[in-house]
Amino acid sequence: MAADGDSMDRIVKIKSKDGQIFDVTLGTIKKSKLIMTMLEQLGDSTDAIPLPNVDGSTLKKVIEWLEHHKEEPEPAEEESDPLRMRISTDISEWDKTFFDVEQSVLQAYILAANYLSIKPLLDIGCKTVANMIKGKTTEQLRDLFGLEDDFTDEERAAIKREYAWADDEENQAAA
Amino acid sequence: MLLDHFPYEIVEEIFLYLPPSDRISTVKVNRWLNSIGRSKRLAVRHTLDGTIASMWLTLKTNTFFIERTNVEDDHPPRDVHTVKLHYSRYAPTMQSPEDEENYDIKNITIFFETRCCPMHYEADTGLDSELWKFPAKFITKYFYTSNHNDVYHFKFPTLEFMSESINIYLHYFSNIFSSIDFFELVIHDSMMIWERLGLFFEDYETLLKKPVIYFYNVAFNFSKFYWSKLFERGIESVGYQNVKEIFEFHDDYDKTSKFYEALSYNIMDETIAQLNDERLLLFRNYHKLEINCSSEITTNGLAKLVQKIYENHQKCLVNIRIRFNMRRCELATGSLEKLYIETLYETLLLIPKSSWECQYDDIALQHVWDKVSITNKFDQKYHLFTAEGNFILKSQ
Repeated sequence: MAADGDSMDRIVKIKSKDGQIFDVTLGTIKKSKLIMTMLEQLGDSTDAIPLPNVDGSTLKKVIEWLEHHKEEPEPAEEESDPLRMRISTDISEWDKTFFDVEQSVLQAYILAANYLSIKPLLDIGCKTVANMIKGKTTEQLRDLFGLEDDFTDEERAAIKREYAWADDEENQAAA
Repeated sequence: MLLDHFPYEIVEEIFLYLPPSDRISTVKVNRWLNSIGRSKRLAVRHTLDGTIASMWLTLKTNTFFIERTNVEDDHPPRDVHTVKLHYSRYAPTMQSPEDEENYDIKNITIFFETRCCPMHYEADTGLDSELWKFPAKFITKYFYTSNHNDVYHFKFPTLEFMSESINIYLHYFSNIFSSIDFFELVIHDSMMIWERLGLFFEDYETLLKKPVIYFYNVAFNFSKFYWSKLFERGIESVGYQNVKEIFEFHDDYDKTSKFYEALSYNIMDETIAQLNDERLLLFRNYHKLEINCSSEITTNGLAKLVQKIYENHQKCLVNIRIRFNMRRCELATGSLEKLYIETLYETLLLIPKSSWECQYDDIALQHVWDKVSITNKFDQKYHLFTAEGNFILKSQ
C-alpha cells in the first residue's frame, strides 16, 4: 500500500482477542507488516481488523510502543544472512523501561510482535531476553525461567561429553 | 515459562544474540532447548558442533610514497593499511573428535587492503564487489567450493570501509566456529586499525584460548589495550619489538593484570617498555621472560626477582634472560669482567647463603666464577649466571 503524508493520518480500527477496539493512525500502525497486508486485502473497508492472537492489554502496550517509535525511519532491508553482526546492548532507555516487566508480560509482547510482524519490536524483545541469559549458568537459567531439567542421566552424560570442548574448567585442568 | 512458550524461530532469534558460551549454557537447560541447538535449521548450530579453528589476525600500516611518474598522481605520503585474516578450520567429521584424522582441515586467508587515495584505488578485486559486506555469500561461493588453501583480496577506498568489512567478517566467522583454539594478533606500525576492530572483541565473545600477541614498531596505550575482554582468559605470549608503552594508569594493576600473567614474554631491541624494578616484580606465572632492551632494571631489582623465585613455588619451569644496564654498571665497576661478577653476586644478596652455591667454589674465591646453583624453599633448582651482558636464571 502506498503511504503518502495524508494517508498516514487515516484511522484504522483494530480489534483484540477480547473484543477491545483501538483506533490508530496508519502512521502509527505501519510498522506492522501483518496489518499493512490485511489493509491491502480489505481495501476501503472500515471494519475493525481482527487480531485474535493478541489480548487488549498487550495490544494497548504495542500501540504505545508504535506511537513512541512512529517517527523513526524504517530500518533498511538487512541481508537475509542470519549470522550477520548482532549486538544486544543497543537498546534505548525508553525501550529498556518498556520491557522492564514480568516474564509473562514480556512473553506477550514478543509473541504479539511476532504475530503482528513488527520486526523492530521483536528485535528489542529478543535482545532483552538475550541480555537476561548472558553470563548465567545453566542452573541459573533454569531458576530464572522456571524450567525443569528433564534430561535422563544418560542424556546428561552425553551432553557433558559433547560440550567438553567448551568447558573452561575442564580445559584449564587439562592444560 | 518464557523460553518454552516461544515458537522455534523466536528462540533461534534470541540465540543469535548470544555468544557461544551462553548458547551452550542455554541448550543444556532442557531437552527442548537442546533440540534447538542440534537442529540443522539453526543458523548458529556450527558454534555448538565442536568445529574448532585457529585464527591469525595481522594489522599493518605502511606509509605509501607514490612514484612521481605522473603529475596528477602526485600527492604527499599517505597511510596504506593491510589486514590479513587467516583461519584454519578443523571440522569434526566423526563423532569422536580427539583423533586429528577425524577433522576436515581447511585454510582460508583474506587480505583487506586500502590504497593511499581514491585515485589509486583499484576497485577490481577479482571478486564480486559486493562480497566485502556479505560473508555468507563469499563463504558459499569460494570457501566451501574451492581448494583447501585459499587466498583472497578485498581492496577498499578508505580505512572506514575496510574496518566495516573486517568487523562483518569477524562476526560471521565467530558464528561458524565453536571455538578458537589458537589466536595470534600481530600489530605493526600503528593502532589505527585495532582501534576500529577492538570493539568486536569487547562486544562479542568467541570461545578464545589465550591469545598470542606481537607488536612491531608501535606505540600504544598500555592499560587501554590490556584491559580488553579479549584477554579475559589470559595471554599465551607477548612479543615486543621497537615498542613504546604509554601509561595513563600507573597503579591500576587490575586493568593490566593479564599482561603480567602471560606465560611468555619476548621484549626485544629498541623497545621503550619503561621496565623498572617495580614492574619486573609484577610478572608472574611465566615460563619464559626475555627482556632484551634498555631498561631501568637494577641489580637490586634482579636480587628481588631472585628472592621471589626463592620464596615462591614456581608452577612451571622458568627461563629468564634480562639484559642489564651495561653502561650504568660499567661506569660503576670499571670493567665488564667485574661487572659480570659483581652483578651476579649482588643478585644473591637477598637469599640465604645456604640456598646457593658456586658452580666451582675454588674458582669463586678468585672472583672468576660466573655461575651458581640455587635451591628454593620448595626444593626447586635453578642455574643463575651472567653472559654477554645478560642476567640468566633457568630451571635445572
